Amino acid sequence: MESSRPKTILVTIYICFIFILAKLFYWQVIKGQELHDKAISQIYKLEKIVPQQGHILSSDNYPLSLDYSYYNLAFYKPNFKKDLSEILTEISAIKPEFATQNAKALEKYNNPAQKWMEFITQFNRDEMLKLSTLDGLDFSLKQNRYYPEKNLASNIIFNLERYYRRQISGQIGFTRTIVDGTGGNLLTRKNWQKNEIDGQNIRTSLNRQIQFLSEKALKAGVEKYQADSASIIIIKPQSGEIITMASYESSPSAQEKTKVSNISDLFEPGSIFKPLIMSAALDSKSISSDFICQKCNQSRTIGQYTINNWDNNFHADSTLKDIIKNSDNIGMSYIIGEMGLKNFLDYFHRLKLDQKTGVELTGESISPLKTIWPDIDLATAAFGQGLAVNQLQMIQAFNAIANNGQLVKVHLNQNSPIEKSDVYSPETMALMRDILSYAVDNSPIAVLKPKDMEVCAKSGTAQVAIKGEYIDSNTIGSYIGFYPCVDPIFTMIVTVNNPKLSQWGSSTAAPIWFEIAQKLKPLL
Amino acid sequence: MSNRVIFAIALGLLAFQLSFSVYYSGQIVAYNQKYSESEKKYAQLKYENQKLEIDFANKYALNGIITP
Repeated sequence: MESSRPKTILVTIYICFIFILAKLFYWQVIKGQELHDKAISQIYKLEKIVPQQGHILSSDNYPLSLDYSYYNLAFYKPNFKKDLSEILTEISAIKPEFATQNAKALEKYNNPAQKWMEFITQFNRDEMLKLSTLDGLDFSLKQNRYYPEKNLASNIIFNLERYYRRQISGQIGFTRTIVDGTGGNLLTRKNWQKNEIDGQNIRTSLNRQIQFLSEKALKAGVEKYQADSASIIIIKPQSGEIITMASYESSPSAQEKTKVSNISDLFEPGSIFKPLIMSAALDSKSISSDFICQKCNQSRTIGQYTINNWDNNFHADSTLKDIIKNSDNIGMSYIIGEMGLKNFLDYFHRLKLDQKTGVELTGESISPLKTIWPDIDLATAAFGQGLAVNQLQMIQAFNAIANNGQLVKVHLNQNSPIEKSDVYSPETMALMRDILSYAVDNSPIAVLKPKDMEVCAKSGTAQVAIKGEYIDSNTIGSYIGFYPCVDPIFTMIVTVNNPKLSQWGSSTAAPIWFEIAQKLKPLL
Repeated sequence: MSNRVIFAIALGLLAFQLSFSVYYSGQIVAYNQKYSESEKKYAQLKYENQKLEIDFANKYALNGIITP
């Protein structure tokens, strides 16, 4: 008995020793990595540094969209040191609407099993600092976009934000710091930081005052002429900067909020296309400046089709000025005939009507150019039928006349380079400006024009083709032009879609054009 | 070397180590406080800057004022 006691003690010690070894093996080898990771996570704190996103600025450096930060509150029940009712009273003292805004969530939170709950109410930094002294409350920083001008150019701004997403967003930064037992940061050499990169500001050429009055005028125009919609673009002729781009629909469809119909919707330009064709014919020397249409005293028949004028009147011996003034389809069909398909396609390409404008927006549509051109198609192309363009393509092309024959790439970003290409000669443009000015002064539109205002412009009315047939009752009225005729300060296009009060561009789009034009002078 | 000398050196080293630790830990704590205060100040300034930008935008908006 006496001799077995030391043996028992020794065996117990051995067993304990083996047990300790096994335990050490378990903690250090089997659980070693897990514990190591846990220790690291307790010592180091890895945090995201959210960058400030860039602003979208108007031409006067006003922020059309910018970032704002707010905090979302979350409750964690196990850390509460006060009753929920007491906590809610303290929150309500700072944010009275909190309880009502989160009534459903709070009801759910009364369930003892629900320990964590985040709420929708937004707190600012001051409010967050006051409430963060309460235990069990956790705030997370959030960011959102703010649009101080509300709906002004909203689709353009949303679209720009999408187009410049990477530049505006910036880059997230990270910081890894060693923390003390209370979670506070310790300043040591082992801390590491990758700085965030704030997003870039995008300075646009949009003039918000002109945008504002254009949107207002469009809305009034749509209501007055009982139209489905109306659109407008105003650009600076020499630089191609887009000052205004807007559209208004009488009954907006549930469309994407980034849709810019000025570039996504195609339309037949109609008679506003005539100055481009006449310029091309003059520039290519297919016709001379003293061209007279000797066959304009009757309609023209090509194959089974007959070309007539919009008012079914004929104008014998029309000069170029008369053809534009009377918007003579027959005269234009002869002019394009003189020019030929090759020249037409050459100028069509030079005017970049067969390609996207490349404006800094998403969703631009273009119509593919036909490969087969029967005579009738070429003849109708002279007055803008049988081809489709978007509104921005049209104004970019027409602006070549305003800009003395140079086509300037349209753009919204003021930092975009100015790209120019020669289309027409300056001599042709001088002649064309004279023709356009004469046409405005000697047509019924002249009553809309203030006497001291010299305008070079053209109206157009295009029938809308539905299932391959043109329908008289559904038209698109347009007015495009620039002011003044020499060294213009703006080029503007207005289109009114399906006006019920009058189908003509001269009595729907033109009044809107002149109303805005008169207000533009002091703003540019 | 007598035991007294060794004992004195050991005591001296201990005192040096203690004073070194006390001095530098005080410095580290002071720098840490300064660092965390600067962090708070930076966050506050960033917030105020953003608030000023929004106030400016609201003040000069053409289309009406809505505070987020």
